[in-house]
Amino acid sequence: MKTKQLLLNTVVAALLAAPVAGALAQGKTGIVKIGVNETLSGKFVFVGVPPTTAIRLAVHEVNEKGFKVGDTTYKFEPIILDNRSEGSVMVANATKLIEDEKVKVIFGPTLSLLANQSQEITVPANVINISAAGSWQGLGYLTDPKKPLLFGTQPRLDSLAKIEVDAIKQLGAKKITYMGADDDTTKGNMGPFMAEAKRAGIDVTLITFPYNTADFSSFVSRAKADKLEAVFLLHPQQSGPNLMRAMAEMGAMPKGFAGRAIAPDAALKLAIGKPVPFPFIAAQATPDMDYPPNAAVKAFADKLAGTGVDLGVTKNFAFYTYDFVPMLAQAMTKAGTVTDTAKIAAAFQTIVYQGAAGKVCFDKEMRTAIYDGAQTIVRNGKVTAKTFPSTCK
Amino acid sequence: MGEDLTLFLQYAFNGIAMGAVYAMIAAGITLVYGLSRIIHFAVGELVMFGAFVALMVWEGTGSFSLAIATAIPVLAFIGLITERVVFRFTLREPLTGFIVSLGLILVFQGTAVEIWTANPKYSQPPLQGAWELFDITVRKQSVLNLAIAAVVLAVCYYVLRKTTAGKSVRAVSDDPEASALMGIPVKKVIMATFIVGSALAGIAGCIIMTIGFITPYIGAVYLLRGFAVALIGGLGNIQGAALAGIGLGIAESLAAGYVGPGWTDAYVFGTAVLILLWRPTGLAGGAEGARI
Repeated sequence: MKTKQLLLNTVVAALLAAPVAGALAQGKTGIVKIGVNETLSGKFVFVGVPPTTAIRLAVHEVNEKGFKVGDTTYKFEPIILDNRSEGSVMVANATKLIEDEKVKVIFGPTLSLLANQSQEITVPANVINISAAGSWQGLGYLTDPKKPLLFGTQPRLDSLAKIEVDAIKQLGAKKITYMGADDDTTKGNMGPFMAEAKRAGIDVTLITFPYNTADFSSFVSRAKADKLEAVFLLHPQQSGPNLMRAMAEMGAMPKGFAGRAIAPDAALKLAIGKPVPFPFIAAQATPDMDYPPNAAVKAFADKLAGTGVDLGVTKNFAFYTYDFVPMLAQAMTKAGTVTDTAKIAAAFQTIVYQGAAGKVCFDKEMRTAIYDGAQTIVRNGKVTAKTFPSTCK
Repeated sequence: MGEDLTLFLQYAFNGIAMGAVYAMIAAGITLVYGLSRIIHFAVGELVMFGAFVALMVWEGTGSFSLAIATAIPVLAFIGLITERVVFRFTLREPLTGFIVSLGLILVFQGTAVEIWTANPKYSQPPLQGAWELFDITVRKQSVLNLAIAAVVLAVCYYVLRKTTAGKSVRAVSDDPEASALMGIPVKKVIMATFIVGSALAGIAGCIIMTIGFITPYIGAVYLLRGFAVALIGGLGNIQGAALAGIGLGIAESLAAGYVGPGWTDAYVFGTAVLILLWRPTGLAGGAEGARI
C-alpha cells in the first residue's frame, strides 16, 4: 500500500513539475501591451478599420514566435479602443491606455484631426505614438526634436506629392482643381502638392467642400465654369465615386481624375456602374492591394481578405500599420527594453524591414516611413500599376 | 444667355434638386411636431433606414419603383412601432419625447451597422446622364428626384387641405381637446402622422440613395438640414417647409459656387438664425401661427 502511495505521489509531483521545468528550459515570457485608438465607428469608420485589422493580423503573426528582449520572450497584447470618430472619446481612450493600461506605444488615430489631439496627450506622457496622419508632417511634428516619440507611417508628403503630380502630368492637364473636405486633413496635406504642381507648371484651383457632401453637382459646375481640365481628390476617399459620377454626367474636367489612395473599383464600377469615360489614376503612398505589384503584396491582400472584415475602398490603409508591428518588436529587441520609450524610439528609427509594402524604413530627416509608392491607372477599363520603389537601403 | 447668368441658373437648379429632398424630410418633421409637439430627432436615421431598404430592393430587383414601394411601408411600420412603443407615452411631456428620440438615434444606428456594416454603400441611380438645356446641365436623376418630391409634397398638401382626414389632422393640430370633444380620434390621428412622417423620411431616403453613398451615419446631415428647413418654414407648416427646403438647397448651392464651399454650413445656418430672429415662427408662420 505504501509503495503504491509513494508511486502515486511521485507521478503527481512529476506532473506538477513538468510545466515549471518546461518554462525554465524555454526562458521567461512576458506580455507587452500596445494601445490602438482608432475610428472603429462613427463617420470616419472607413479610416480606422483597415489599419486596426492589419494590427490584429500583424500581432497574431508576431506572437506565433514571440520576440526576444534579453532572455525574455515577449508577445504583444493589443488593447483596441474605438474612439467613435469623436475627439472627446479619443482623448478618454488615450488617457485610459496610458494611465490604466500603462501602454508605452499607441497606434492611431489615423485621422489627422484626431491625431493632432492625440499627440498632445502622448508626447507629455512619453508614449510612442504611431500614426499615418499626414498633418503631423504638415505641422512639423515629425521633425520637432521635442516630439521624438511621434512616428508617421505615411511617406513624406513631398515624395508623395511627386507621385501625385506625376499622375496629373500623365493626364496631360495644365489647369486642375485640388479638391478635399474643408478640414485639417486637407489643410495639412495640400502644401507639398501645391509646391510640386507649381514646379511642374500646373495651375491649381483649390475647391473644398463640406465633409458629408453627397451631391457634387455644384462643385463640378464651378470647375466646369472655370474650364478646369482635371481634378485631384485628396479626401474623403469615399466621395470619389460620387465626384466621378458628377464629372461623367456633366461632362466636366474631361482630362480625368486623380486622387490619393482611392481603390480602382471607384472608377471601374462604383461611379457609373461601368468604367468611367476618362482616365483615372490613384496615387498611393503604398502598393495597391486590388492590383498587387508583387507576391508579398498579394500575400498580404489574401491574408486581409481571410479576416472576413469588409475593408471598403480604403483597404490600402492597412499598410499604414501592418509592417510597423514587427518593426516595433525588432526595435524592442534591438533596444533591449520594452519600457524605455526613448531607447525603443531610437532603435525603431534605424530598423530596415522587408515588409508587405516593400522595403520599409524611416526617413533620416523626418520620423516618417519610406516604402514603395504606387499609381494604379484605369484607362478604358484596363488597369495597370506603376511602382515607385522605396529608397530604403 | 450670359455665362454668369447660366452659371447662376446652374447653381439654382442644382440647389432646387437637393432642396426638394430637404423639404420632404422637413414635411415629416413638421407633421409630427404639429400634432405631438415632439421634436423627433431620430428622423435622420429614418432617412438612413429608408435609403438602405431602397438600396437592398434596388440592387436585388433592379426596380426603383419597387424600391420606393418597399421603403414606404417598411418605414411606415417603423413609424407605427416607434409611436406605439415609445412616443405614445411621451405625448403629455413632449420634452421627454425629444430626449427619447435622441436615444433612438443610437438604436437605429447600431441596428444599421449590424445589418449593413459601417462601410459606405454605393448604388447606381436609375437614370444616368444629363440634358443640356440653354447651356445648363440638368442631371436626369435630379429631375426624377425633383418630380418625386413634388408629387409627394403635392399629395401631402392635397390630403391635408382637401380631405376629411386632413381636416382631422389640422383640427388636432389646432386644438386636440376640442377635436376629441368633436369625436376625432386624436391618438389615432397622431399615430397616423408618425406613420406618414416616417414614410416621408423613407421616400427621402430612396432619393438620397440615388445621390451619394450611404452609411449608417448619414442621418445627422439630413436631420440638421431637415430641422433648419422646418424652423425656417415654420414648425407645423407644410407649405413653409416646401418653400424653405427649396430655399435652403439653392442657398447651399450658391454658397458652394460663390461664397466658398467650406463656409456653406455656416452661411446657410447663419441665414436661418437671422430669419428666425426676424420671424420667430418662421417665414410662413409656425407653431404659434398658422399650422399644417
